[in-house]
Amino acid sequence: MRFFSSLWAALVDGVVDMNANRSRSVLQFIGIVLGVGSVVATLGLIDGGRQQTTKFFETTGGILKMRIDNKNVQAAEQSATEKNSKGLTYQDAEILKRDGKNLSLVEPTIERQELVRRSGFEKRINLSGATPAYEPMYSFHVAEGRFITQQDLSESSKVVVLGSARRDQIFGGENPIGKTVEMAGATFTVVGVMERKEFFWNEANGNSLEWMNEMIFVPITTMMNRLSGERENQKVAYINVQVASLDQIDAGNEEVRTLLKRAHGGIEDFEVYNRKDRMKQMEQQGKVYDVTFMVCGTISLLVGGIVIMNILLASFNERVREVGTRKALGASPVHIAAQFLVESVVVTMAGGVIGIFTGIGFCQAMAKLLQQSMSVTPSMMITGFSCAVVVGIFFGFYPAVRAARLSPVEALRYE
Amino acid sequence: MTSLPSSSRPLIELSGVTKSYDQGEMQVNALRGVDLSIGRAELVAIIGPSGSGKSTLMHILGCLDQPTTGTFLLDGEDVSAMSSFQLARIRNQKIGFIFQTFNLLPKASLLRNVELPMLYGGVSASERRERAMVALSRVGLEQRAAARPSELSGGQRQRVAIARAIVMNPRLILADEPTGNLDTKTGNEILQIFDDMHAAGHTIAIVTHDPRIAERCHRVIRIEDGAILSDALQRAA
Repeated sequence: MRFFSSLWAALVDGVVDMNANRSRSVLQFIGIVLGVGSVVATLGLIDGGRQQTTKFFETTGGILKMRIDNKNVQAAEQSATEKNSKGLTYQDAEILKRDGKNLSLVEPTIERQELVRRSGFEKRINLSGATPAYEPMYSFHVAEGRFITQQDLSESSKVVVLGSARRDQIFGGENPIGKTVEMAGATFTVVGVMERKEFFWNEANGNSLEWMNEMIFVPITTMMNRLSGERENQKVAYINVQVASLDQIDAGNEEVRTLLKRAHGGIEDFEVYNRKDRMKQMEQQGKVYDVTFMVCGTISLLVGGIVIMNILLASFNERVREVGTRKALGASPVHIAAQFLVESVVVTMAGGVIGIFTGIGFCQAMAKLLQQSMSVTPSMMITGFSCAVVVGIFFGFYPAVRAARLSPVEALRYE
Repeated sequence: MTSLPSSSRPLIELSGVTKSYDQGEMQVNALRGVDLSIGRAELVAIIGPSGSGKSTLMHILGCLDQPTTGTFLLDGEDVSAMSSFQLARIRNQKIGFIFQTFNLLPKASLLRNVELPMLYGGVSASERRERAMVALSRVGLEQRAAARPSELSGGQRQRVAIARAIVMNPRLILADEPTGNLDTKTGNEILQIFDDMHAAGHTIAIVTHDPRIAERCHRVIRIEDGAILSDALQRAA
């Protein structure tokens, strides 16, 4: 009990002593502040980038979505049957919808440029022939009026839904619902306007989803029956499908392949992109940067630790006689070690706290500079702080043990 | 031997104490068999030329170092085989050191300097303060308790060191050339304090090569070549 109270007193004394030798502590403090700062900033930037990717996928339909594209088979490798392959069709989408057990949504899209006209407006614009599933597939919703309905599909109705940018372009400030536009020589009634979609990877690059705001939707059947010359063909630009849950991604992927291959007579003239793989791939690419960043952050912290040890060792010599005196007065090795250790621990703890704020500052400055988003979460702060304390104890330990082990006679004799 | 109550036994009993160091290839025999007994309330001078082994003897008496062979009973306790933790406790409780170079903590106040041994002894903060002030007043420096050592003269610094040495009420006060860094007049003032402490019942051993200090002590132990050359009582100063 007496020993513990004396140990506590020695710890307090160590802190008082630090205050008396402030310049020594300040340098160590700066080392740790910068070290923790860079660790926190690194973690923040890495995580910021990752969150951006996830958010981007979420704004455009989530990770459960996969896209089936036409694949051009190399001319030289084309066999006779492959030459006959007609690519993705509306029929394929119907098959997937009927037989795909893992698929919760199937959405074929046809794209075609047509002349769009209204009084004072005339332009060739890409039209998208879509089904009602487009809305949930892309989490892209109507803001006014309605989207394409099942009835529109079965009746091949001449209705159109405008992206918000197109509405502004064609109708200006007017309410377009119920008004008409002329497309490919036919008259279409506007039934809805889409919400505005926005996503900024960074502020310099503008809206990466502006293309969605420039879309014009008509029912896919209208596109096939009224606008397309080749009704038989029913070729589509791509088909999007969605699986019901994360663990069905691989099964869904396989199912799409099997069903389409069978429908296409064994020819794989399509490609399936699933977003999980895409994300994994992006993460793999990002890992190189993550590791580089982490190494830099860790090195900074290590340098901070070495600064601590260096200063402790440099001041060690001038403190040897003091250690000798303290030992003569009755300090046990534990008292001496505690006094040295408390110094590095207090310095690193204080440095750790300030380092967290410095890290947030770094992060914000870098985010601004790189036009990149960032986020510092409590777990990162805890990581940074614990790193600092571990470094402090680790690098403070050697000088502390060395001081504790000094023989009192040698220490007192030290010049 | 152990049946005797400790108070009636000598404070210090060395028997057959040797100390040798390995210095490179050579072995240095700093002490070659010292038998010595110092009683309570004695004022003893240990003198000898440099290299005689008197510093080594002082280190052993102060429990800063341990004999290579032989036994050392301090206050009836065998300290020759104690661990460094036990020795630290003995130094803290039973020995007060006074150094030639004062060895005060330069950046700490006089009060904190005098409190230091009590800190390692686990004395409560309020008691530490109280006892440190009493010790400082015994050397006439209670008014300067908040000052730093650098603001004091050499003689005043040594008086602080004396206050620090007596604050734990040690059995033995060990002084190593206590006037070595002081002029004669200041040195005499310090020696006067030793006389006063001796009169008050403290056991004091002064290690010195200054014969004038030795003259003031009632017992002079002369060391040469690692052994006691003479051990003589003289008339009290």
